[in-house]
Amino acid sequence: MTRKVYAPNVHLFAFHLKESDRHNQLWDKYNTILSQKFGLTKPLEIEEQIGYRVDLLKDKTEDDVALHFESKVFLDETLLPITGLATPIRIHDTYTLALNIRRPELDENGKKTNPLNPNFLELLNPSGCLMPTEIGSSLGQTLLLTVWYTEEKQWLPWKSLQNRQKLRELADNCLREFIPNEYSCPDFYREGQLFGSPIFEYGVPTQGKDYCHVLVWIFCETDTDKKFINHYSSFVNLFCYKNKAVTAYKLSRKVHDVLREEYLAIEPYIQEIFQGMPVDKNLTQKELNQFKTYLKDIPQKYLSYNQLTRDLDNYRLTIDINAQNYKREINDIQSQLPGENLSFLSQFFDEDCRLFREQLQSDLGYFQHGATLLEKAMTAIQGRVNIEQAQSDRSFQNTIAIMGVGLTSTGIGASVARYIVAADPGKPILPPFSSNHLHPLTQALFLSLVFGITGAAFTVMIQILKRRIG
Amino acid sequence: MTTEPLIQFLSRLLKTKPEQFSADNLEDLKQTIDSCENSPPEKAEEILRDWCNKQPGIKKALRFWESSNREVKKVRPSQANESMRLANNFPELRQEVEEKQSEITNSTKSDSAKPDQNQNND
Repeated sequence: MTRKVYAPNVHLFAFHLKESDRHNQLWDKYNTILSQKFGLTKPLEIEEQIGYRVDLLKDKTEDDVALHFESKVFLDETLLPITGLATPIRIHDTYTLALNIRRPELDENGKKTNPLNPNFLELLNPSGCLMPTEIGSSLGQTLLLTVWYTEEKQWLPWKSLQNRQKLRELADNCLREFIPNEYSCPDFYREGQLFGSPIFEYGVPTQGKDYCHVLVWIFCETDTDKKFINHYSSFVNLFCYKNKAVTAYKLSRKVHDVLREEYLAIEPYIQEIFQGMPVDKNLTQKELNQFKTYLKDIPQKYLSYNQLTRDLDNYRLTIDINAQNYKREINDIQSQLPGENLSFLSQFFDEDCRLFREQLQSDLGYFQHGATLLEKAMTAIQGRVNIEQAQSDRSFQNTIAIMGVGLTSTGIGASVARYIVAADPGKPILPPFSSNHLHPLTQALFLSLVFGITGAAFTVMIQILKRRIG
Repeated sequence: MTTEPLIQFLSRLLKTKPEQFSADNLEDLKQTIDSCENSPPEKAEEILRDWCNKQPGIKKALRFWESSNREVKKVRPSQANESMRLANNFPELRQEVEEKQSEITNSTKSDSAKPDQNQNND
């Protein structure tokens, strides 16, 4: 026989980035769910204010910042009243919706309501309207189901092994009933004790696909719910920081996938470049141009690669910051409940966040090599291109030098010619080989040419000597 | 100091909602309390509990109060100390990274689908 539960409650804590495209996502979803699924028409109205943690409800009072509602659901052809409240908050850059829908403990006459089959929970999540794919919040969500094991509110022998197994079965059953068949049930993650009652966690944060974080808290001690209610706002904060850390980790896996592809492509790319770079001879002009193209291509790859490693590091920092905020929140609860065992809550900081942190540090260490490889390749190619360029420039300069000296020597020859060759300006210029004597102009030109060739040859000999000595 | 929630709320109800008590109620209650003066605490609790159970209106109000801080009835405003936290603007995933990662995922899926197709063809 299925165990009945008393006063089942569903709490949704959803978190959405304020600066995203659909910044009203949570408020629109709330209005849609409450109107379409529960027949309520009063919308959630928001009023922004400056501050780190801001209560956004427009009609809030001094002691209550939630919007309250009542409705009815059909169970076994009976209309059963339900109540609830919605609390819109902004925590820094994150919009938060804390939604509670429940079968109340007392009816309108102050009498205890009847215990119910766990399948009642399905009525509080009609068509899976509270599932992550339906809510669509960019920073994730946590669903918390609370039920009393007994309406007498105390079940002392719950800690025995046999009873703990029964409680685990009850929790699994509540989860299965709550989630419609078309959605996959999250895997069991861990169990523990919180405020004296057993609590079961579902949804493994490192699982990428269909992640859904659900807690099933079965109240077995009289004070459990009081402590939860007294620290309700702290739980909102805790789940906010937790979901932000988990979301940061999930997004870092996407960056990791892209970075890994780029990393694996770097080595073959560099090998291809250096295979085409002969070490025993000069580069041809075509090869030189190809390497100049690589010099334009590599900085682009380097920039893109560095942007990805920067993204990965940003997510590492985000996880650290939210983990620290989570820890501070636990410390605040502990300071108000000094003897309370909060190890179930601390596990997220001590184990999950540590895993996230270590994974990202490993990824960054590994992928850093890719950036170094690109840097070194760029330096090597630049160096080789510079050498080839310098050789080409020197060769050109030598040619210029030889021509310069040659022309200068020719000029000197021309100047000297008038002292050696007898001037005879009146003598006619005859066709070649028509006389035994060269015209004075021809003699002067020939002398200049000899001077020029001698100067050029002398320059070439000096350059050869320099190269041999160098 | 009693741990009986019903009696804990009795004094609070007297202070905050005295209209719940008629003149007869108050007289009766005074006599009941006087009779408890020389009784041990457990006995006094039992006497007062019995008295509450005999007053339907008062009992109903006490029961309501007993459960009033069990379900979330009110959400208190944000406190100043809740702002003593590290601020960090959450980095959104760049569009080009999202697109490239989708291509990788789709490529992986189509690669893993290929051997099945080969088996089917056989």
